[in-house]
Amino acid sequence: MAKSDIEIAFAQAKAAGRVAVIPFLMAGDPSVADTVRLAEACAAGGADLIEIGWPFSDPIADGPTIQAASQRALDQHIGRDEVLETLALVHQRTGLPMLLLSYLNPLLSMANLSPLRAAGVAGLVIPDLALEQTPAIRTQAQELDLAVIPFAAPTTTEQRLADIGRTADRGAFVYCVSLLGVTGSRQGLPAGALPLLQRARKLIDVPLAVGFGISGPQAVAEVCRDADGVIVGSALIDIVQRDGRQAVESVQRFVGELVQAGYR
Amino acid sequence: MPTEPDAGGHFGDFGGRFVPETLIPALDQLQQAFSEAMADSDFLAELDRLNREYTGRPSLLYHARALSQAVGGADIYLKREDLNHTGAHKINNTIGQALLTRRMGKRKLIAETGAGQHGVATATVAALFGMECEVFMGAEDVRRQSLNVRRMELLGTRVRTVESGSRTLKDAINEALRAWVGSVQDTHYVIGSVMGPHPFPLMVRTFQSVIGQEARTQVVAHTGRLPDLLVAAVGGGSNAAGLFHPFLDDDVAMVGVEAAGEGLEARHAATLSRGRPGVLHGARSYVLQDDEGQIQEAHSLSAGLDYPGVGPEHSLWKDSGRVQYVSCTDQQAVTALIQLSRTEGVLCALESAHAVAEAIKQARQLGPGKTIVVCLSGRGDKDVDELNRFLEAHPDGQV
Repeated sequence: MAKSDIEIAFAQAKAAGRVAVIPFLMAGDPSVADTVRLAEACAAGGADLIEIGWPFSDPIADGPTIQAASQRALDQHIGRDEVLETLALVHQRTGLPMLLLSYLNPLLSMANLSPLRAAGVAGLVIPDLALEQTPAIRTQAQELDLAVIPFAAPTTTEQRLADIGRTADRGAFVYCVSLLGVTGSRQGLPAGALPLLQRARKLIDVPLAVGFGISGPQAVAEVCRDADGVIVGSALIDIVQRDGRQAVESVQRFVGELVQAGYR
Repeated sequence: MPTEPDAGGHFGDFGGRFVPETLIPALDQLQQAFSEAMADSDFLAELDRLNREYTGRPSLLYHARALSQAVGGADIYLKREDLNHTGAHKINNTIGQALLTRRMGKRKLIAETGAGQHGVATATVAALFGMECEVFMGAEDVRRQSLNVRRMELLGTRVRTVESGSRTLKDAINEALRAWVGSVQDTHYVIGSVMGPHPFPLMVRTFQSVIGQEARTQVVAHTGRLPDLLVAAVGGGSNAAGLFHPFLDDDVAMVGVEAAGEGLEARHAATLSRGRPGVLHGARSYVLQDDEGQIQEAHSLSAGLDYPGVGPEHSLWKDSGRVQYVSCTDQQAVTALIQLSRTEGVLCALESAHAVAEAIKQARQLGPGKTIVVCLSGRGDKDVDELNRFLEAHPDGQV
């Protein structure tokens, strides 16, 4: 079977001796054009994959930074059409394998998921879709060759890790949540990250990407021997908020630092 | 129609567990503790003792003769959950969950609250069981239910004001879920209604079913037969589920009353009447949402009904036709509240007034010789300020 874009991206980073870097941006925060420009900056900085968020009214897994990003986008009337436009442009301009982060409800409101595939989405990250829930959306995603990325958390038992390992899409990765809590930049590498990665490694064959609370190069350096990928969202959004018009340059530099820090 | 969920907590197509992975093991633990407890005679005896000695159960079933006569139709009976300790049905559930929390070896409680009644009921059991407690409450609700905020604080609970979104119950639940994800190893989230991920809808309905079980015995004692109709207000739907469930297999009609707020064409909280199935706060159920799946803000004068979701079991009951769901405006609820106060000397909560308004309407239609049981879910002291504001703004609406 041909390898998926996601698989290839992880394999290339591994061959280069480093962790894959996956920046996260919220679609339309504060405009479609801004998100596309920032995604290009991520690509220029050396990102391996990119994750784009679908703004949602009730993001229960997100901390203040991503909640605010979501709200800014919704305030700018970023709806389904704008999200699809953002995805298509990001994919065209960056050429990176692209993940869509969305809570379940906006996806359930689509007649079908094929517009996502058409826009270049390779995988779905759905924070409120646990392993045992099987809405029709899973079958649809499978038919469209869209990976549904499973989560593992510090509270996940060995039994569940084994289930996740057994059912994970071969072309996908497992999203390892580094801490007990919501998204948001933390000081240092969250203490839950390494123990979870080490437990997961024994039971899961697909790549492991760690996210939630990964704040910068230092945390990436600490985790890069145990993880195959790092997902960095809130820290990136904080930089964009801080630097305003200069954000494109700072984002490119920051992603470059993450990549450099990720060499094993 | 199944009267119990499947092993995954599905009520037909509704329910389930749509939460971050971090919470799944805690839900498994809770589910196991709950099913073991319900088979443990010591647990059930302790729950029963607290219900009797602490809450003051059984609550009265009161024949509202004067109201029935004034309406000129069916006999209206009030299931007086307002007479429970803390003034509402919410304590039936919080006692059960506090006992489970102790059983699971956890020491901290968190909860969301809209009208503040669930917050007060949780703060109360936290004090009783010697547990730490934090309650999340939308800023708008903190404003309109300030009495309950002060009560919770006096009980030793920390009230966390939630400023995000519509600053009401929905946002308080978001924040409580986020807090639970960060504290799940030593903290139990006491969900206050028949909503959320499995096992909450089943568990809360089970603890609230004491309402219907008592009402059943009491109404037969009063009238010699089962009632013709049950009426209860539905926000998340816990008092309604508690009253209805023990009667599901009987030839008894049931009406759930949602908040129509300013009217179904304006701002309202009529989730079952005007929403469509979706996923909110951990379960698949009817949800007020736009075409693209963004959750809409609900509106009701009554903070306890001001919620764009509803319990999954109600969604099943709606789709199966077993329960009829109607709605009642702010104005109609206030009118009913005042009518009940002046005929019976019972000042009920704004939430409960929605059920009273519908019961009055139904009593006229059913006519004499029929019996209606209404769940009077809570007392109205907390609503006095909000009622005064409403009556000042709507001087023509006074009866």
